[in-house]
Amino acid sequence: MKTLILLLWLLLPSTLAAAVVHTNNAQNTGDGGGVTSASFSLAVTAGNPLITCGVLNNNAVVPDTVTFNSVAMTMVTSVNAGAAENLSLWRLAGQSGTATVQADFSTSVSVSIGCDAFTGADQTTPVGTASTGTDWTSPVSITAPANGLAYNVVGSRIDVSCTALTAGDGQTKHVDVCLDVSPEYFYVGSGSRSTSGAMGWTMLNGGYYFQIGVPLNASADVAVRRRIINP
Amino acid sequence: MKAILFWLSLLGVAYAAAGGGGTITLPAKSYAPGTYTIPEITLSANFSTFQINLNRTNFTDPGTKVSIMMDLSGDAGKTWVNNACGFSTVGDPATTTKPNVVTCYCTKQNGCDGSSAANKMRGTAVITGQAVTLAGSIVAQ
Repeated sequence: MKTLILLLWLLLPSTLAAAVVHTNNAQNTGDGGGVTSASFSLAVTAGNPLITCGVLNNNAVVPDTVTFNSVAMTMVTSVNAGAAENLSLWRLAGQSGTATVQADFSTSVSVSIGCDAFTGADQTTPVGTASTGTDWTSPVSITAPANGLAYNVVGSRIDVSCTALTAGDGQTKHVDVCLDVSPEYFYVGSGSRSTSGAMGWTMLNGGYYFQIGVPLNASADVAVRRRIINP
Repeated sequence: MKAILFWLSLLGVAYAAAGGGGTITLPAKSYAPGTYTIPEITLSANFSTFQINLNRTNFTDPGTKVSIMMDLSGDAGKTWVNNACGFSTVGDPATTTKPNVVTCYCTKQNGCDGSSAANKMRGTAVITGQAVTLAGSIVAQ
């Protein structure tokens, strides 16, 4: 019997993939006379963790740094649209626990930030190639990797009011934060799903709209098989 | 239940769930460069956000920077999550009429249980550059 079990394990694929799972999100807004940094706490579950943060500001600048627990995050990409708004997406693998997310800027900005935490992510190449969009009517198209997620952040400056975002195309909404600097309102949202295709949002019209989408890659967990074959 | 609340409202009785939280006031005065401890307070149950407010009326020097960080304890002060909400800002003569309002959110997923009566908050303010007259508050609500 033991020999049979061993043979079955040897016939299994050499890697066992773990699914990417969204575990948490947190957000912050800072406005008025402008801020040069904004910070808040985020809890990240261990187990091939991945943190992603979408940062929208009104001064067309990319943050100098975004950190979690003082560890620098990597910017995936950024997009400018409208008069002065910039949306950037940041990511960091390998860090877990409850700690501070902080975004620092070279100049004063009004800012909305939303971060997500995932488990089961590939720790070497956690995200794939990014797609961006700046057109209200054109959602970005993202291919969901095997056991991974199609993920996107949306940013918008609306001149109407702060109203809850609606995630379209079957995605689950995570972050939904709006900075009220009447008569301007700065949104950041995020969402994900396990299927490929177009990802869009429904929100109030009358402003500027940005979106960044990326595939989130799943970890290839080889540890399970190794433990059993070589206990 | 709804009917009871309706009749209470007709009688002028406040029936809405009492808003919890608490407020730390940053006294209006001139602050020299340095680090200031903002004393802790106990928060009453039922709050969901933290808001840091800073009056910028006299904050005109671009070479002066103010950082305010709020710490949160969910176990009556035994342990603290430092910088659970915070920001930095520099002086600007063009924004003296625009106070800073920075908002963070209390969620159980992030270790903040706003329904508990065991929460405390405190803060730290750091001023670099020149002395500046400031006023503000940290509000949990």
